[in-house]
Amino acid sequence: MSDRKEQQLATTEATRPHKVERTRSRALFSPAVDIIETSEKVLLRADLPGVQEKDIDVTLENGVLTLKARAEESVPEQMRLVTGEYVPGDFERVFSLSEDIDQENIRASVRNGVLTLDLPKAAPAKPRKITISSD
Amino acid sequence: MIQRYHLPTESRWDPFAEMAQLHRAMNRLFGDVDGTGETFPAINVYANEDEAVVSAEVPGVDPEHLEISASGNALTLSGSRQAEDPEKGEAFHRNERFSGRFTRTLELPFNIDAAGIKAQLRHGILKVTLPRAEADKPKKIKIEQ
Repeated sequence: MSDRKEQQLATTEATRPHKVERTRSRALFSPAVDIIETSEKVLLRADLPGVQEKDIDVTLENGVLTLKARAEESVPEQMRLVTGEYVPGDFERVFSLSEDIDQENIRASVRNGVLTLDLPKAAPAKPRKITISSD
Repeated sequence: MIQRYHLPTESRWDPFAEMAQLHRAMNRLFGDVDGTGETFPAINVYANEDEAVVSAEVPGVDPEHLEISASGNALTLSGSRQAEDPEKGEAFHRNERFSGRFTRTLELPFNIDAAGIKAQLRHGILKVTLPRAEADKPKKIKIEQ
């Protein structure tokens, strides 16, 4: 694999494929991510505070990886907000993956509000040898 | 990317909110030495007459790396979030997540009953419930006739 191609692999962030109307009246945030590439895989970590495993939706379609998560955070009742630095909300971010990812073997796990996506690189396609028969 | 924003303060004048805002400004001024422009962790403080709830977004922070201490009306949250050191042959394409040590001190509208503090960490959100110290509660004085 050429260096240039490797660079391309996980760095492109796709623009939203089509305009989506939101049906939830909550704030939508783009989560902070780390993307680390090794020779065997690409590791994506995303901060999703307040998100449970069941509320994370990762889809991969046509090389576009879409990450959606719903955070459920209960606001204390009968209390006044004294300091507000964050708003509980949902998360969404879209990435473009190269075809070099082994899409069958992607693994995802969540721990302490951090999603880890393990995207193994596909083995390079083996050159097919075509035998030529002669009469 | 959408940045998290501050909630607008209430329209009516509120000395506590004002104080909190000043505090936040100071925290940001002195806390932002790494130049990321973001304070970690982001904190919300809710309060009523009898107790306060402090919630902080600490995704990826293990409970053993979190420290909570209180004295008087001040609450200090400190801890660290480990970053994996890049190994040989690794390349970072994005590195947006905070790593390293953090310390944040908040001033609450009343003195805290340190013995009654409860803290729980769920899905990367720390919630600390702080009861108001009994001695700090306003006393209703009965008028004798």
